[in-house]
Amino acid sequence: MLKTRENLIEKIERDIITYLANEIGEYYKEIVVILNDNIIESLGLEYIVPNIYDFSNVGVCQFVLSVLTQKGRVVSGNVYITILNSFRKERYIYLEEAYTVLFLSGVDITPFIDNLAALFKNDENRLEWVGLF
Amino acid sequence: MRPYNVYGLILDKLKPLLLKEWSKDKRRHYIKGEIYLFLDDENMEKLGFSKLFKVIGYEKYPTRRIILRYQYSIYKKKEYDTYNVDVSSLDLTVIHADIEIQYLDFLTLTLLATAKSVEDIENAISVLYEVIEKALLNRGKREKAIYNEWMNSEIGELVALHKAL
Repeated sequence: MLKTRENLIEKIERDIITYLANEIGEYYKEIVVILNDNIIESLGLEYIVPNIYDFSNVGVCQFVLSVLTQKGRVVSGNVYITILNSFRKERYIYLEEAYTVLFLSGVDITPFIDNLAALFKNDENRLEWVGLF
Repeated sequence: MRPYNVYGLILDKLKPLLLKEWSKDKRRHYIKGEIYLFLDDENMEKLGFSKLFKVIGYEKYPTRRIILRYQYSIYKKKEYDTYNVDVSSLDLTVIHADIEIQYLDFLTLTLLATAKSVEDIENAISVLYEVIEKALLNRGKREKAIYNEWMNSEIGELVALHKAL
């Protein structure tokens, strides 16, 4: 049993990263996609970024998964989103932290994380693949 | 009524709880901690949490639990041969996603702007007292329940299984 809230947060964050790495099958991956209503809804970004729909279809977002392993086990890592709008203003958000706090606040984060894993695995609509980013 | 009077009412009401928390380790002068407030729809409205998230611009927000960080100072006032212990600099912060929101300032001004009478303000402060009291009393149980909730979640279970293999 974990004794402190910090330990609980660290455990959930590490579990999220471990789950994503297992699902995606890679320890480092970057993708760039158009930020649209579908991305916002499927990843629960309405919970994380205020007025997020203002960015819909006027910006792109980059997702980066970076995992550090030791003897095949996930030691640490992070998954972050960078939102770039039309004026190239950037906002970085560490999603494992945000999702963990959402879970602690009683929000079901499982579909969001599953959708994030699917987004990383899906090669369609990725801008860098068609030379647009 | 000026804002600091509302703040004063909140501080006075919460003082017994804050002093009780401090009494667990009286060496501390600065106390900081986090609690989980379990709320229903009515309390979400009464305590202004729904409004707080809407004002900031969130399309969706938690409706069952709020993570609240409290911090305050203890000071001892010498009066003749005895010391009186008092509380000051209370701050309440909502932890949400990747940000921290100054809740006490928001509540103080919202009550000032919306309450029709002092009784309305006192009623809201009583609700705040009740939810914080329950959260402090059940802190261990709630943390354990949340831990179990994670371990029984799809991701928690799968990762535990993966580690065991």
